[in-house]
Amino acid sequence: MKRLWLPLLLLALTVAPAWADVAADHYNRGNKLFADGQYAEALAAYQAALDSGADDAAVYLNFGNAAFRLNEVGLAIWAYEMGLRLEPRNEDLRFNLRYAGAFMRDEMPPADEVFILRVGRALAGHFTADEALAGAAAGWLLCGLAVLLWGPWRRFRWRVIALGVLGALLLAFFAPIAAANVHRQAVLERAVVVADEVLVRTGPAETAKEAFTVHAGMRLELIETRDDYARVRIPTGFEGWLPTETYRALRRDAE
Amino acid sequence: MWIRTGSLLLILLLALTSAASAARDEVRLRLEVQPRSVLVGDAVEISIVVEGDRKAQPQLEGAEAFRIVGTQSGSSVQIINGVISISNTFTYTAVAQRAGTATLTAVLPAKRGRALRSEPVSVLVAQAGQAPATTPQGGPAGAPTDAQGRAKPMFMRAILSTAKPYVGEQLTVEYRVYIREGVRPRNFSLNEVPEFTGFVAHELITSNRLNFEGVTIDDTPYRAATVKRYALFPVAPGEATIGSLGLQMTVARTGRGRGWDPFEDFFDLSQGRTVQTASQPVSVTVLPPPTAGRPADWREGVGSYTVSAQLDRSETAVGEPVELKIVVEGDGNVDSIPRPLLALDEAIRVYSEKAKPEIVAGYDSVSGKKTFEIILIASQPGAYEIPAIRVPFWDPKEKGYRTATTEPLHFTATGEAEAAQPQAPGVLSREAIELRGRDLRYIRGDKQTLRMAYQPLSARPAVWVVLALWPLLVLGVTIYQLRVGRLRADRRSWRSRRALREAQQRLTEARALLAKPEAARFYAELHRAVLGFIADKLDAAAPGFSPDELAARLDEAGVSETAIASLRELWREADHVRFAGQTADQKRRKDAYGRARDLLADLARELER
Repeated sequence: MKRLWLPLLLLALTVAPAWADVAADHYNRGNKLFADGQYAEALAAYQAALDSGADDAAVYLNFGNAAFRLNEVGLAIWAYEMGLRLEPRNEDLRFNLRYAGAFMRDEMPPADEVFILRVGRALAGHFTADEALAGAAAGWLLCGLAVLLWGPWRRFRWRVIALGVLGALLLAFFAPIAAANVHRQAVLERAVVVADEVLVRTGPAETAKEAFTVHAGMRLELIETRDDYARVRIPTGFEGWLPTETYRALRRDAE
Repeated sequence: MWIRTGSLLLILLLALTSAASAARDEVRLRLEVQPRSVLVGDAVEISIVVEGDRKAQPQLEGAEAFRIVGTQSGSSVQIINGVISISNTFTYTAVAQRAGTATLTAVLPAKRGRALRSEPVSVLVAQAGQAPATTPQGGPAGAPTDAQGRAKPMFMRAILSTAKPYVGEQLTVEYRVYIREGVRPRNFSLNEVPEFTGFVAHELITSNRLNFEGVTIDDTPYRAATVKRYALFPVAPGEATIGSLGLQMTVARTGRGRGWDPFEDFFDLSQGRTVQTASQPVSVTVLPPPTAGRPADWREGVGSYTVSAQLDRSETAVGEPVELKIVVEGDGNVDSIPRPLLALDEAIRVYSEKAKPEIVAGYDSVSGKKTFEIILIASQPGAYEIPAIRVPFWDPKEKGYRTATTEPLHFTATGEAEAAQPQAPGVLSREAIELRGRDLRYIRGDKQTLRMAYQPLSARPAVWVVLALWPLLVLGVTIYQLRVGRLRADRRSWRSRRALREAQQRLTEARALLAKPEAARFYAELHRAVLGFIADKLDAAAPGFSPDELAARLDEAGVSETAIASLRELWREADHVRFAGQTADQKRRKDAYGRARDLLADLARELER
């Protein structure tokens, strides 16, 4: 086993950049096609970049733009949401998401009316789950470090107190954001409707009673899947079943 | 200590896991049904108990004669003599639909072998032989009877305000529960919500508790209470069905009912028990609104309404939006009112429109208002008039068509005529309209490398392990620091504790010098080892002792004369070699080393004592 680690490491170092190069090639080809106005071909190239393992906000932005030019509003919204998952402060993604949202047929419910919830949601929206978790972890470690240094560094008591306060502030600020974002990204199964119009039914079958209709761009919370159907909840709280091919999940698992 | 505790936990966990997996191998299935004989419309409770498989999803066969109206499940885990038994119980509340004998069987679908089936259970369903359970437009008629022709002690009915409503006209359905005199209801819960296919339904206000009133049906005294009331609005002409409502009620016998034999046949009410009942579905015939006197612009309005309209400004610029707000208000299903037709100038376009209904359900009827917000844009300058807005509706109370109207509205648009046409209409907010006037932000440029998919921090167990272990580490180090600090504060105790360890270190160093020619260094280490040990134990300064003083201190401390003599001998020998130039071969040094080691052991024992 000891003899294997070096070849494996070399293989990983060689193969990983190769995948990255393939993905970048697809991406750059997509850009050229987009500039030539060949949006369908550009979309396919961006999709190939994603299939090659890319998880880059630039790919999602360009994918969304190509989809939007093809009147695929739902697909565009999905791509912008995926990009914002990686770069939540990216102004281009934020604007394009709002822009594409203006072409949705369904009206999204208004934001939280409680001030504190609105502020909390806005704050959480500025950080990725990893950033918030790293911030909270740093605060957690600093608090512990301050406790550790309290005895030996008695001469620098004020510095140790400052370290502890800094840790506590980091923890208090980032821990709720981390909890919200990790829950949102890792626990909640979210998705976006990409089909133009979908009939949501009361059961996982084509024969089930019709409940309501959703259109491209509608955000969904996936509750369960059964065969080719998923039970979903829309932001207004309504629940129903729709075919799995009509939405794209807002999740990217590591390759 | 930690390792030992962890090992114990691990062993316990492994034992539990292996016991659990052993328990999984034996899956048992049991079916229970209570009661075994019922009337059509009565409820039974079907329980399927699965032991030994937590994930099993059993199925029920042979239940075609029943309608499942409620399900619940629970699980329990027992550890007896180290053996884990897991059981999941799936309980169904079902209402008998057809007379006959039903044979129920619980089945666990096959996984790797054959399917597991429970012992079958037979349930006898008898025909009630009752009168129609509903009486349109009236109170109760004949009470439903059981197989022996006796009036049922408890039943439900759906009572309608009309059996032939018009499309869009309100039809009120009231679900009432009837209980024979002598029975006291304790509490109730609804377990079957009615379906109103072909209707728009709004629940009317009802009390949270049942207010019973006395009624007599076929000379039998009952007490009746309203459970739910709904306002239904038929959406299409033809036959439509109003669904049944199911209720579970805990009842007990009152003093007046004591000794009432027929009732005792059904329930043992002395302790109180839970009873299931449900109303029967009811059909109604929905009529189309009459054509006589129907206005040409009537579309769907049924009820009694007023209408008002206003513009948010009287002057605007060409291409700028003007908001027209129309409010239709009144009794009826106002949500069904379509946006009134607008006879607009050709230069005015409807750019977007939005409708917001607000429904208010009262005790007897539904009312409300519907607000239409319409964005108009003039493409040419000029003075415009929006003609009177009309809302025609069929008024069921007046049995005729009426029309609500507004006054005409006016506004002026100034500026240059627009060349381009506005976009197609859609439901847009102001923000959406503004956004649509802009364009997407352009794509990102080429890249040499792209970020690849990776596992987020939250999905890496190592992150959580580090974060979880960190407080334990801090706690451990803090406890250690406190302990060391306390020992240092007690200097004498601290020196005494570490005396032997330090002496042994010096002895080790002396031993390393045995084979070397440096005899003086060897004896110096021996001397320091023994003297340092004594100084630490007595909390004194090592260099400050003369042999006599040391002997006196040791004597005071209770050290034996033999040990003191041995110490004096060793000291003298060391001084001779170190300072008088006496030689000491390896054998002599080895002997001195052995004596020093023995002496330290004796001193440690005697000073400790």
